[in-house]
Amino acid sequence: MSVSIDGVEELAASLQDLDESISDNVQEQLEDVAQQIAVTAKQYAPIRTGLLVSSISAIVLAQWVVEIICDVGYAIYQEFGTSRIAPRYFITQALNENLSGILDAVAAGVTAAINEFGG
Amino acid sequence: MSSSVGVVTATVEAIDNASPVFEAISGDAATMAGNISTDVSNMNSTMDTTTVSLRSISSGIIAVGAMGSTIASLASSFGLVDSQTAKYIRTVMQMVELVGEAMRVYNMLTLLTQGHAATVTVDTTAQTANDTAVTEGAAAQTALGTAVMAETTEQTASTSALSLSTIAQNVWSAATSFATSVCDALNISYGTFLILTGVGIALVIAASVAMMSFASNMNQATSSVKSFNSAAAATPQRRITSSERELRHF
Repeated sequence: MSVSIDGVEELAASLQDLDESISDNVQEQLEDVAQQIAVTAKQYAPIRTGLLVSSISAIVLAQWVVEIICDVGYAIYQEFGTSRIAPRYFITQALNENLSGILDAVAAGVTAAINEFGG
Repeated sequence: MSSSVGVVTATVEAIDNASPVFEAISGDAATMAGNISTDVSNMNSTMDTTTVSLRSISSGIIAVGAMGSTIASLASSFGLVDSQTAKYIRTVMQMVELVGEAMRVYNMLTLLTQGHAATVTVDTTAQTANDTAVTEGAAAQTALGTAVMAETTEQTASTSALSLSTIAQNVWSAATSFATSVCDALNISYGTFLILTGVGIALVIAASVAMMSFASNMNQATSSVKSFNSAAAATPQRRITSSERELRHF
């Protein structure tokens, strides 16, 4: 009697493909949602000269790591306020509004990978 | 937060817990495949040393080769068992292990059942030899004794097979019930579960774990923002002193 086990290499290859697909899809989704957060933040940001709004952007720091940045020196005073400036929380609000969207984005990325390689 | 003074940044990071799980599955599947080959080899050795010639049923046992795909799935299932990324995964993996073990028991049961049939054949042959021996004289009594021993061996094998059958039925029933509940929870078909157990379950669970980690990080991030806000609110605000005001007027 003999039993041959085959398909182990194929299984490993499939898992690797699946892993890469998840990485790519989730990354893509995260970038999209980061852009959405930036757009939302611009909507909440105070406008005087437009510099603050125009400095808001989303960038990719690493795999599955994105950053929403308001790249002017006085942004923190507008965000959290001072003794004379009311806090606007434009970044915080944008994050809070898109929290579920972030999770949905990750789920969508994983789902796309499942559909692609998981049958 | 920011690298420049006054700049506000918010970092969104998702933790990839799936990749290590996939790597573990790949490694464990290969290990399990090797272990199964070793088990089969040991089984062969045991059969070779069995008094009753199980070789006569080798043609029947070859049918076991048909379970190659099942064993391949079993390998991946057992591979999952070793991945200990989360309690949830371990729970599912225990179930997968249960299914795999039931399959293993069933396979052994198949062997014993076929062995039983073979020994019945051997016993029938022995009985025939016995009848002949009785007719031919006292010398045939030895053959009869041998036949009786074969009968005893066959009965033992039969009893073992029945015992294993009961165990296998119980294990299989429990595993099937549990697997069904998992299938329902994951909204996948039972067929998909059986075929894609190694991949599908790990993927879904790993994804869930990834998302849970992600959610946890976001909660921490949100919490940190709140802490910052609280700290900022509690910080005494700097006010222009009268001397500074005078200085400005000057």
